[in-house]
Amino acid sequence: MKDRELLIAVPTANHPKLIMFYLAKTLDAALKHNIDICVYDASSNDETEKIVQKRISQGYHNLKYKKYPENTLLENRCEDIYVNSGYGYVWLCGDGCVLNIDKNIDIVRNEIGKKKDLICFGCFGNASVYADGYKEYTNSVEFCKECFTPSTYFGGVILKGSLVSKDLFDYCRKRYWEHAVPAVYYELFKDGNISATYIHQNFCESSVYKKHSVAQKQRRDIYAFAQLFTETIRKLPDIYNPVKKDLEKALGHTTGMYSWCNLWLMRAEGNLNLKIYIQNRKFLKIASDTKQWLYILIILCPAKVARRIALYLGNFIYDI
Amino acid sequence: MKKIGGGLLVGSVIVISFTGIWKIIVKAGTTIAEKNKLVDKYKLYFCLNNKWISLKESNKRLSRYFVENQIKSIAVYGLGDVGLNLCDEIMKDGIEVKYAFDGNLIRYESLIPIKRLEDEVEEVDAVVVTIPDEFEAIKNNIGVKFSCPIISIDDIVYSV
Repeated sequence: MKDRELLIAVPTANHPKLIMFYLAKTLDAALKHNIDICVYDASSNDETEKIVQKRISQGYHNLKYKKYPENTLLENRCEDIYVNSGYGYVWLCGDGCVLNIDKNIDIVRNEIGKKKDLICFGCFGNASVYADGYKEYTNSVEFCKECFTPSTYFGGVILKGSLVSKDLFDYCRKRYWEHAVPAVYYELFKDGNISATYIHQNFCESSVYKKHSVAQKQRRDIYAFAQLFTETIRKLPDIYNPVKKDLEKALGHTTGMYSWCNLWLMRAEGNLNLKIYIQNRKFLKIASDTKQWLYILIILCPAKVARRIALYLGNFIYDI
Repeated sequence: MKKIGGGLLVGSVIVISFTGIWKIIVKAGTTIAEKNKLVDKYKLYFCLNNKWISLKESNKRLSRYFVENQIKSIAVYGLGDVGLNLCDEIMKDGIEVKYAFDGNLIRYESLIPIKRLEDEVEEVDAVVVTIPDEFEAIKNNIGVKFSCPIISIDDIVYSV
């Protein structure tokens, strides 16, 4: 890669172990391919900073660090990443989503060479649909319809660095709140034109130290996926109206979030109970195909019994 | 009377059967949870050893961690495969392993004295715990005995 051509941006907060693992797995490959990694840290202590500074002192000049006040919102850090990074392309990545750089670099280099606006990775859907393992898009509505779910993953999208302005991100933040980042991709191309590639490939591995997402730990899983995503989809520009209905259930279909197996797991971990169901009932009907009586059945089951059923169904259960 | 007796017998059989089935279900759940824990443990060990191998491939030594942190002598908690590999590597580079804690006291005839937690022990610069999945529990357990840093093996391997 040329200098400042690709930046892997990793926002984090109070996950020093995840960052330690992340850097151990990616730094050497990033250095080899002249890719910079920057950690955008909003931790309440300096553990993450010490880990990063130690790595920098070991000679990893491709590693950068930016400190934010504690509790700086993720969207604020993402704005900084997309608007101010100054790189040709930005690969926004979660701290629990460890990129396999060596495996993906050739594809990434190839697509960057074609000057694509957006490169999206994912391993959802039937691979045989994608000839040669990828598909190119020039129509943003078609891209939205087929790639909405993978584009919502932190790590699934490489975006051309110069595309996002402060005004656009501020607008998206006010309109879409926590989903400002995926919304930016579709606001950017609301004129219908996009130069994008979807690559059907597993681009990362989950960190062994990551057991739950932030939404799961805060018991906001259903709120985040059912309500927030539905509202985000509905607020997308009018050009996407023909596909919005398809998108509403797309997340559930591709991730298995509302499957029988996963609902028992959510019940066992406290992410599904009567209160959460009542609060999000309307959006659960929109976002999932699961019958409402099944939700009631699972909710009425005591958490201890739900835990056992979730185990029998093959889930790994971790205390939150 | 016969009918009552027969009914009682059938009822008893049903209750005993349900109790037995319930116990099997409970035991199955416990067994699955234990197996899952083992899977997680071996995932940790796999990643750890994978990284360790890649360090060796690039001629990076674990002793670098101790040198950078001015640690000259250590105690090791856990002298299984990981602990022994650690000791073998760092002792060649001059880091002193003064003693180790291991449940299998008589298993090893090694250069490293094996101690019990109750024993009086010398001060060291750091204690390295080579059981990453139980690190927090071990650290809480031995933290009262040592004033020096207690470090997990994965912190070392992933920092070099």
